[in-house]
Amino acid sequence: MKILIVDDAMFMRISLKNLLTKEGYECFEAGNGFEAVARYEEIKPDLVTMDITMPEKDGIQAAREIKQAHPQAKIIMCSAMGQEGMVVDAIQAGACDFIVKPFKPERVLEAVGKACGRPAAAC
Amino acid sequence: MISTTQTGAPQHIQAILAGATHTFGSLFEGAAIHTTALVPAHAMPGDEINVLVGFTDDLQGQILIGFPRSVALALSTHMMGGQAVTEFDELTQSILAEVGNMTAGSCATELHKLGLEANITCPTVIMGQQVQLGWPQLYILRTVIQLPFGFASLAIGLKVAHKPA
Repeated sequence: MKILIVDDAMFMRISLKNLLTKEGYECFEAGNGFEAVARYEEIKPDLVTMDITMPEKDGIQAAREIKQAHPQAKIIMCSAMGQEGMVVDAIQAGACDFIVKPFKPERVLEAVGKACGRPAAAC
Repeated sequence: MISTTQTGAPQHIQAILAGATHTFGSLFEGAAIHTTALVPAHAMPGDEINVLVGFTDDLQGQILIGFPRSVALALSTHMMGGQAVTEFDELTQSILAEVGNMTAGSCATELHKLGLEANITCPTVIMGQQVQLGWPQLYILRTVIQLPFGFASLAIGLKVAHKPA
């Protein structure tokens, strides 16, 4: 299973990569929304974890563009902003789950496992 | 009109304190925030390492989290799961920026409960104590963050934006 981790914070990319690699996922990284869209085309990952507040292009816009080009794409938003409006925006952009930072590792593994075991049409 | 509670602080400031308490409490067991004093904006002291996050939409201004270098390194070590961080490098900056991002995000979530919509800017890490910022108010609330490995500070300079009628 290939996972694209999108976050402008190197620390967060490393943390998620360490966590998911240990569970057997193959991880790739992108540092902003522009990179995320380009890396998605290149890697065609099974899942994307997407931060929202990022320079250049935010995660909501990147998710929207990825879903537009690849309706089957599975995206989990992973953001420090947990208010209702942000969650609604994320879901409307095509996200299948929303994780609020700071998160516990088990919450991430649960969301990733659920998304990866889910039929594409359900996400 | 922003109402106040018995602590005397406006509700939006209390929401910021609640958000920061939530974040630091989640990340570092035993962390606590102590409200200290209003400081004139022009005399706001920086710390050795500072993380600045701006707020937009219904709120104007910013928060500034300050760390002595030793506390920043100890906090970074903790965030890396105990892997010793001894240099102030790109990874350390990223860790501190993320702590600022999480804090501000949690504050935005608390503000939403008051009916205030706030977005946050990407965090900026600033080195050095001579931080001169354009605060939106004459007086800034400066608090002390008690962490398991020392003290940090949180300066809150935010006001509710006046929307055009």
